[in-house]
Amino acid sequence: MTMLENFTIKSLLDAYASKKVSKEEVFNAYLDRIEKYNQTYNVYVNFDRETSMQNFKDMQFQDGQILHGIPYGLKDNFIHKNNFVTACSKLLEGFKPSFDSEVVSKLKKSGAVSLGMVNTDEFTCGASSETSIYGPTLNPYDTTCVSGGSSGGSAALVPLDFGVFAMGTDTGGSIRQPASFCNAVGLKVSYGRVSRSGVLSMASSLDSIGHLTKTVYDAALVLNATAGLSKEDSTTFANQIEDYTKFCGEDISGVRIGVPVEYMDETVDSEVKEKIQAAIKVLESKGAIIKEVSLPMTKYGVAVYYIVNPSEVSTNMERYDSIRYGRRSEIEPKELLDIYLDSRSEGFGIEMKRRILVGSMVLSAESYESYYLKAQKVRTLIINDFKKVFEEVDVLVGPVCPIPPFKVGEKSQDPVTMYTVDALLTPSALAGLCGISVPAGFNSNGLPIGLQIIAPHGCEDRLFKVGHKFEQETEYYKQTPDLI
Amino acid sequence: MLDRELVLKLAQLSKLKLSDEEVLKMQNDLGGIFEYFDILNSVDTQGVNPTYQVSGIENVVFEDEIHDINVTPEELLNCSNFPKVDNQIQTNSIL
Repeated sequence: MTMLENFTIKSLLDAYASKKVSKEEVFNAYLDRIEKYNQTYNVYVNFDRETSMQNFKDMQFQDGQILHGIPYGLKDNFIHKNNFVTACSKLLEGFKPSFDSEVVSKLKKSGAVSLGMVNTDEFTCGASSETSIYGPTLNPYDTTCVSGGSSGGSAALVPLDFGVFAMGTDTGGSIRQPASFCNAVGLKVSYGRVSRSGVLSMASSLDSIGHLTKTVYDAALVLNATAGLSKEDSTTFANQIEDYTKFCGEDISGVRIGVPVEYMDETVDSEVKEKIQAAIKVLESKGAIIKEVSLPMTKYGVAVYYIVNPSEVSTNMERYDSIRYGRRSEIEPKELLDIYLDSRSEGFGIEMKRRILVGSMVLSAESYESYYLKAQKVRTLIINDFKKVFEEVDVLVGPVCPIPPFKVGEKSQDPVTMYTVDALLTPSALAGLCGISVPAGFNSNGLPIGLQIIAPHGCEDRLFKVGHKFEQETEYYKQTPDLI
Repeated sequence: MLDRELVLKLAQLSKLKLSDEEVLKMQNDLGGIFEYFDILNSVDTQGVNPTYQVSGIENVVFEDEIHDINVTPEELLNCSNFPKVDNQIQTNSIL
C-alpha cells in the first residue's frame, strides 16, 4: 500500500502509462486505505466497499480519457446513481438517486471513478463540517481540529490519500477554506463555469462546483473535464479554453498582483500574516509586480452573505417535503401539513432551521427592504470594489482564512463567530469571481495555512499561472500528515 | 433577542415545528444575527441598483424538445417512501 501514497493525477496517469500499476489494483488499494483509517478522520460517509466496487465495474474505460482510472471522492451533495446521497442530513437518510449529476457524468466519461461520498456540513451549510449528521471530519494534521467546511471531507481526503482528488462546492468559501485547513489546493470556479445540474442547490445565485487536489496542475486537469456550457444549467457560459493545464508553467514576470489591505489587517492571525507575506515575497522574486490595493467593502461581506444566502436556502429547502424522496417521519399524519411539519422538523438540523428562519424573516414583506434589498445593493458595491481594483491588477492575493484551523467545538455554539470565519471569502463569492487556495506552509503548531488567489470572472487561467508558479517554488503539498 | 411570537410565526411560515428549547435558542441566535446585520445601516446605498445575479446572462432559450434522461417513472417513484397507486404517490388529503 505504501506504493500508492502521494499519487497526484499526473503521477498516477504516468504510472498507468508505464504499466507500473493496474487500475483495479490502485482502486482496491485506495479502498483498503479508507477502510483502515476512515474511522479516525470521518471522511467518507455511508461507505460501503461493494457500492464502490460496483462504481468501478460500471465504468466504461477507454484509452485517451483525460482522467483515465483516477479514483476520487464525491461530496455528499452530488447526485450519483445507485449511491446513497444524503447531503449529510437526516432528511435524506436512505436516499439513492436514479440518475447522475451532469458533473458526475462528465467525470465518468473522462475515466474518473468514484470511491464514494464524503462528508460535508448539512446541505453544505457550515464552515467546519460540524453540522453534518455524521459528525465533523477531523483535521489530518491535528485530529483535535476541524478540517473546515463545508467541503471538509473533500479537503481532508487529499493529504490522507483517500482518493487522488475530490469534488466540492463553494457557495461562500466552502472549497477554499477547508483546502486551506488541510494543505490541499481548492479551486472555486467562476459562477457559471461548471454545470450545477444534479448538485443539491443551497444558494442558487452563489453555488459553484469545484474540486480539491494535491497540485495546481491537477486542478487545471480536472477543470478540463468539468467545465463548459450546459443545456441543463442556463447560468453556464461557453468554455473558450480547451486545456487549462497549459497555463501551468507560464512565466509570471510582469504579472500585477494586488494585496488588499483589508485582507492583512489586525483581524488576521500573526502567523497567518507572516506566511502570506513570505508567499508574496516568493511571487515578487519571480518577477511579479506587487501592489497594495483596497477593497473597502470587505467588512460588509459576511452580513450581505448571511442575508442573501439564507434567503436562497429557505427557498431551496422548500422542495424537501419528504413525499417524492427523502426520509419520512414515522409519526402518523392527520393531514398533509403534518407530513411536512414532522418530516422537516425531524430531518433538518439546527443550522438548517436557523438559516430557513432567517431567510423567511428577511424575505417577509416588512423586512424585505431593510434587509434583503439593502444587502443586494451592498452586494453591488462589493462587486464595484473588485471591478475597480481589477483595472489596476491581474490577480489579488491574501490569506484564505484569517485564522488557522480551530478546535472541534470551539465555534459551533455561536453562529455569528462561525460566520465570520469566511470574512475573506464571501466578498468574491458574492461577486461570482474565481479563486484558488494553494498551500502556503504551516504555523508553529504544524497546522496548514493557505494562500488565496482571486481573479476576475472567467479568468481561471490567471489562477493556474500564478498558483502553479508559487507551488513550484514551495511544494508544501509534499508535506503529508502521519496517519493514525 | 427576538420575540417568541415572531419566531413561532417564522417557523409556521417555514413549515417547521420547533420544540420549546429550540424556540428559545432561535430567539437568542436570530437576535444576535440580526444585530450583526445592523452593520449594513452605515452603508450609503442611495441610487445603487441591487444585484440579483452575477452571470450577466439573460434570456437563455432552447428548443422545446424532449431529451433522454435515462430515468424511468418506476425509478423515480421508488425514491418515495409513500404508497404508490396507479403510478402516483399517495399522501393524505390536501383539503
